[in-house]
Amino acid sequence: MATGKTNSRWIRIYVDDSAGSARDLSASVNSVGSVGLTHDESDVTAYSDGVHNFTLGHPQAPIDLTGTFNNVATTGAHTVFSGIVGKEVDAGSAWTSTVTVQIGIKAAPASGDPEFEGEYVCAAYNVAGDGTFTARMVPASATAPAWGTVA
Amino acid sequence: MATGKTNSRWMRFICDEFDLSGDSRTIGTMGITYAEDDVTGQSNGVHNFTLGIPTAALSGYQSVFATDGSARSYDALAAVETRIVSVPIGIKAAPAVGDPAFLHYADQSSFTHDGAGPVLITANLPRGTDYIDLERVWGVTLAAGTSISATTNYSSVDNGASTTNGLKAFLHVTTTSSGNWSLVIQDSANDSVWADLITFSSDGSAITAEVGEASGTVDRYLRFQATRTAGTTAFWVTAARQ
Repeated sequence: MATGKTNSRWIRIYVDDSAGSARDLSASVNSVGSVGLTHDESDVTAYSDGVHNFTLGHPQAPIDLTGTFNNVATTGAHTVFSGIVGKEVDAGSAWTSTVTVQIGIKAAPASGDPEFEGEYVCAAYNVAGDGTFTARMVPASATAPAWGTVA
Repeated sequence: MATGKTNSRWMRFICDEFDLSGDSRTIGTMGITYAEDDVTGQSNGVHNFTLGIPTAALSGYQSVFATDGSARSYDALAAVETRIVSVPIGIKAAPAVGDPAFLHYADQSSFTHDGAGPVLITANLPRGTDYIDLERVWGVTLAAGTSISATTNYSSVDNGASTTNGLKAFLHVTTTSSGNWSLVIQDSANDSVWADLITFSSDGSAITAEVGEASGTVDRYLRFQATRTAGTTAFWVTAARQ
C-alpha cells in the first residue's frame, strides 16, 4: 500500500447496475464531485458563550458524477445509469446500488488504498447537448456510507 | 449497433414530423430527475432518501433560425404547443438502429429569437401533461430516418432479456411521397418468430408523429416493420421499455 499524495487520475468508481453487478465506470466518469460525509451544523450558541459553537447532526453524502456519454455494453455510463435512474425496488424488495469510490496513491487502486462506499439510489441522470452526462446518487440506507480501504 | 463514446455532432433532433437536425445547434440538457424526499430518522447514520415524482425535461434547445414555409426550425417551433420529441444518439456516426434515444412528450414552454450573431432560436420543453405515462425516457432507435420504397424489416434490437412493464414508442414520418404503409413494432423471444406489439394508425401517407403504447410483457428482441403498398417514405422510430 503506497501512501502520500496522489492525483485524481487514480480514482476508480464502481456502481451496481440494475441487476446488482458492480460495474467499473472509470472509463466514462471524469468527476465524482465531493465524496465523503458533511454533517449538519446545529448552532447551540448561548448568550454567555465566547464563540459560535455547534453540535453535529446527520451527515449528507450525495455523490454527483459527471463524465462522457458512453453506451458500451455493461460498463458504459449510459448503460448503467439509464437502467438504475429511479429504481428503488426489485422483485418486491427494497433495492439499492452499492457505490464505491477508490483512490489509488500515484497508481491504480490497490489493497489498502482508501475507498468510500455506501448504498445509494440514482435520483437523476441527464445528458447534455455537448455529449456529457450528470448522474446524482443519494443515500438510501439508514447506514451511513463510510471510508474504508480497498480489499 | 456501435457502442462506446461519441460526439454531440451525432445527436439528431426529431420534433413531431420534423427532422430539425440540419438546423439544431445544441440540445441543452435532456433526462429525468427525481424529487429527493428526506426520510432520515433520528437513529439513522446518514441523511437518506426515497425518490419522489420525477421531472423529465429537455431544456436549452437551440437552433439556427430557418424557414421554408413548412419544415424548418422556425416553422416547426414558432407555435408553442405539445411536442413528440425523439433524440437519437449516434455512436461516432449518424444514428442507426439500436443506438440510444431520448423520448420526450413535451409541452413547449418557450420560443425566443436571439438576434446577436447568427439568429438563434431557443426553446424549452418540459414534460407535457401526461396523457402518456412515460417514466422511462431512455430507449433505443428502431428506425433512423432513411427513406425506403420497399417493405422493410428493420434490424432487431436485443435487450438481453424480456421486460414486463410495457413499451412506449414514437413514430415520426418526416418525408413521404405517395406513401401507403402498414407500420408496426414487433417483439420476439428468439429473434426469429415475431409478433405485432404496437400497430401505428399512421399509414405514412402524410408527415406526422404518433405515440404507440403496449402493456405487459415485451419480449427480448424488438424491431420495426414497414410493409409497403405504395410510395417512398422516411421513418424515425424510437422506443423505451417502461
